[in-house]
Amino acid sequence: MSMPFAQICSKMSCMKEFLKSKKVTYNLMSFTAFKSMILFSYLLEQPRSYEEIKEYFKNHEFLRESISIDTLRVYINSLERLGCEIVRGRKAEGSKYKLLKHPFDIEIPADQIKSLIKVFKSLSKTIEIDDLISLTNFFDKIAKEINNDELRTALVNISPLRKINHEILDLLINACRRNDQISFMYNSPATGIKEIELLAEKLSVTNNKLYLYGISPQYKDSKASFLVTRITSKPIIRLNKTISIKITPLIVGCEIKDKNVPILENEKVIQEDDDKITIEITSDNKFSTIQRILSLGSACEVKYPESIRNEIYSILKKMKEEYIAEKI
Amino acid sequence: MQKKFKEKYNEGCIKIFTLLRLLYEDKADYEAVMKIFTENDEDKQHVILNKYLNTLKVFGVKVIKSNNKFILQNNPFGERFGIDDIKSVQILNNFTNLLPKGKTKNTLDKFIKTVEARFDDKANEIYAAINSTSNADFSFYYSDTREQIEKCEKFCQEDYKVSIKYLSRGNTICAICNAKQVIYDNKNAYIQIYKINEGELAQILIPNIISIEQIPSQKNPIEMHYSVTYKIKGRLAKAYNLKENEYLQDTLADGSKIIMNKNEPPEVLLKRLMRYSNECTIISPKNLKTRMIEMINDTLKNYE
Repeated sequence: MSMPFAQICSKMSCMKEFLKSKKVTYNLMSFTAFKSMILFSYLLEQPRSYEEIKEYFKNHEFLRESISIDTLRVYINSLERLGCEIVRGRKAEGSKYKLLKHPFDIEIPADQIKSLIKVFKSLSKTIEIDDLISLTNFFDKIAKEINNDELRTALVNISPLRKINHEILDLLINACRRNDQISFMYNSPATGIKEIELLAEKLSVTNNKLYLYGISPQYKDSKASFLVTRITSKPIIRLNKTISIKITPLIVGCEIKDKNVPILENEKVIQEDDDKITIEITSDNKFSTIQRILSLGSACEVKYPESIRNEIYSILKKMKEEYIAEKI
Repeated sequence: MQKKFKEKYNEGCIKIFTLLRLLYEDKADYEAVMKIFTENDEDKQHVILNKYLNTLKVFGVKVIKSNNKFILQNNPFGERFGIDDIKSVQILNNFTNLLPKGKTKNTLDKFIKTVEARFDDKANEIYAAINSTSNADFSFYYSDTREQIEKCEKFCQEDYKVSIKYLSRGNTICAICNAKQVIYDNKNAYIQIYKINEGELAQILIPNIISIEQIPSQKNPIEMHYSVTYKIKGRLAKAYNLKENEYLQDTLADGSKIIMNKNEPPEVLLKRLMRYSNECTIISPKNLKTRMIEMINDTLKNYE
């Protein structure tokens, strides 16, 4: 929170310029008020001893006067009245005055933090990855000003970019922009660490997690997606692109017996009846399509293709078996 | 206990910082500012005020007067905001401008003003430049349901119960409830309610509301807290990230995890757990487990 020296200097030059213009003279301003602002700014930078403050005032281009310890105490008392918390350090450390708290600190009340968390969830799905990085960094910065541990942790943890290696992320962003063919080590939840070859396409947030999407010879049926937190090595860019797989989008026809279900971006209503609608889901990712269908429960019946219909049926039977097995 | 201050203080210091504080908090109305100088003779108050405004000016603080109010134009006590910070404030501002009136919008507006008040000249320049070149488009957000959302936001803030009629799976549902909060998805807005008779939380897509009216009865101060325990296994257990209302109760020898979930509306939770296929089973409470089994059986009927 402290003001850098260069900034103080720029303020001084501003003062100089102002005085040069002769629009104001000392009797047209409050010199004691000005001195208190100088002192406050000086303490904002870092803790200062009386001797340092005295020297600073003496050498100050416009003040050119010393300050007695009694006068300094009066200024300190005044700042404390205004809500500053100033302590004097140990003698062994130079008896420096330290500004712990002041009324110009950003104070973020709990309701504002909760609202930030609330909108972040919504924003993170919509904004570009660069903006998401900016927001994450900004939240990290303001989190330092939050006293409540729980809220501070909640604000820092809300970003899907937490725990992500920023060096890896930067390389992935560039690879997606150039549509590079890359290889990297991936810690798969199903099969453990393995090398992945991928034509990188995009980075996107789903369920508050960042995924890398692309085309991989290891996943020929649909677009491959990888949780970025599980990428364990920096991606290596291949000079020659060898992946030439064409992915045919998966088209699934579903009958929905609830006309009030929110339709997603990759879904299209192709028929509307009194009590139901028929939609077509177009997707590059079979896994997410199946998850979407399951989440709609009994309101949704897959009509085509037969392979997806069978797969859903098989999953549902396994789900039922889990509960039966539990009873036994 | 109120802190005792030492007797001697400097009046000039108190006045300049009181003025600065009003400016920072965007509360520097002419009357509020003049109150700082009430100890001075009435005919001299303007002169004294000008003296203090000049002091700020000399220090490099820019203040303008608009509509009987003094407004701070830059930050004298250097919180340094980089490009990431300024860009973030701009994103939040654009998004907030499109939110329907209500608690979320109000609190975010206050937050943005607090941060903007701390921008220095350079930050203000960048902020203006970013705003004029911004291509972020949030205009699709909630535009069709703005009025309904504002009404729901209002009911959530007030102390009265609401009577709600809404559509769910083609059926009309009526309920008396406590309106709790409006939740924003990336394109949809929902109202979260506590159904008093059922003792259960629910989340309703706002366009699915047929009617919502306040009733002259205070909100129920006591709401039943609801927790659900479920088990996840396999790939899901390895990759699962706990939600903010969840904690890990146990990790079993085979890597399966037992999760305790608190206060997620049951309908929302059931739909989410359905996505996890056979890698997830509800352990307790019994009634939710039964609902899950019914949901699986009903869905199976579509394919048998």
